Amino acid sequence: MSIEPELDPVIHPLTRLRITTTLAALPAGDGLSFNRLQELLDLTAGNLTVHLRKLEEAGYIDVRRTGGGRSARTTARLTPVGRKAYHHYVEALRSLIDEPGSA
Amino acid sequence: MESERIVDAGERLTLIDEQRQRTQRSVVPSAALLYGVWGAAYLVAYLGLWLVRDSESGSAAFVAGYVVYGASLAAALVVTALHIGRRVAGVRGESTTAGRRHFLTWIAAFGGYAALMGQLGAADVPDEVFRLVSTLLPPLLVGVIYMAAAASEGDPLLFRTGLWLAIAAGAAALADSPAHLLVMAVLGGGGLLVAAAVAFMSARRAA
Repeated sequence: MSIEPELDPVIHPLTRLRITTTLAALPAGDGLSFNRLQELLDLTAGNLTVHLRKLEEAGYIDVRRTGGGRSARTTARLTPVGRKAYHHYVEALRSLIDEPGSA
Repeated sequence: MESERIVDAGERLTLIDEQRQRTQRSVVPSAALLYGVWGAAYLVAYLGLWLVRDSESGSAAFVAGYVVYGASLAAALVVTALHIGRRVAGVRGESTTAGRRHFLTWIAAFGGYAALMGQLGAADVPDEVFRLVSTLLPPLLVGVIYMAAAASEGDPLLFRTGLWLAIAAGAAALADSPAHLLVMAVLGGGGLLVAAAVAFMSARRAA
């Protein structure tokens, strides 16, 4: 049996789970620059961009771009909705493990 | 098939835990390192002054003592700035604003200290008064700033360390000069090194 039907499909892919985990490890209201996220996740810029877009479309992260050209800075942070969804996801994983008869 | 589902969830929780730890190790400054660096700096700085306690004001030994004092505190400051700068690079948001305010607090406190010392030096106050104020006001300021920051951040170790530094500065002021230097080296430097050990153990337990 797959665990996927019970879990948030936006967060579920491993890369997006790692992105949301990274952002959730920061205090609420804080975000990380694109470069720092890339470094912490060992992702290519293209791959990270694709997954950030998916999370942004779901309203789970807020991506802010400041400046322009080569000096443009991108910062991603979890929205309150995204933080709540992430915590629900983690709780759902824990409940799967804690289910009676699952030990 | 049930076991496959459980392993999958367990692996995901492990991955979450590893990524969370990696992020915190990368973006949160190490309290153990910072307490340790400042503990060592206090120890060297105050012991340096203690060793030249009988030297005449202005003599080579006296100047060397103050050079060691200034250089060890300056080195700790550089290590602190580099460490925090590297860790928080790329972190933006409410913490950045709080960090900026912390920085301004330190600038205001030690800018005022420098101005006061300049005036005391120009006023030609007795050496003993100058030595007491110049060497005990910094740990008192640090202690009070630690306590205020800890109160807003909910950091009990920072609060206890700040309180300890303020008490150490007070105890040193009550000791006869130049014994106050030894009191600060042992209580101030030692207290910070104990705080470093506590922070290290606490970080290891949390890992």
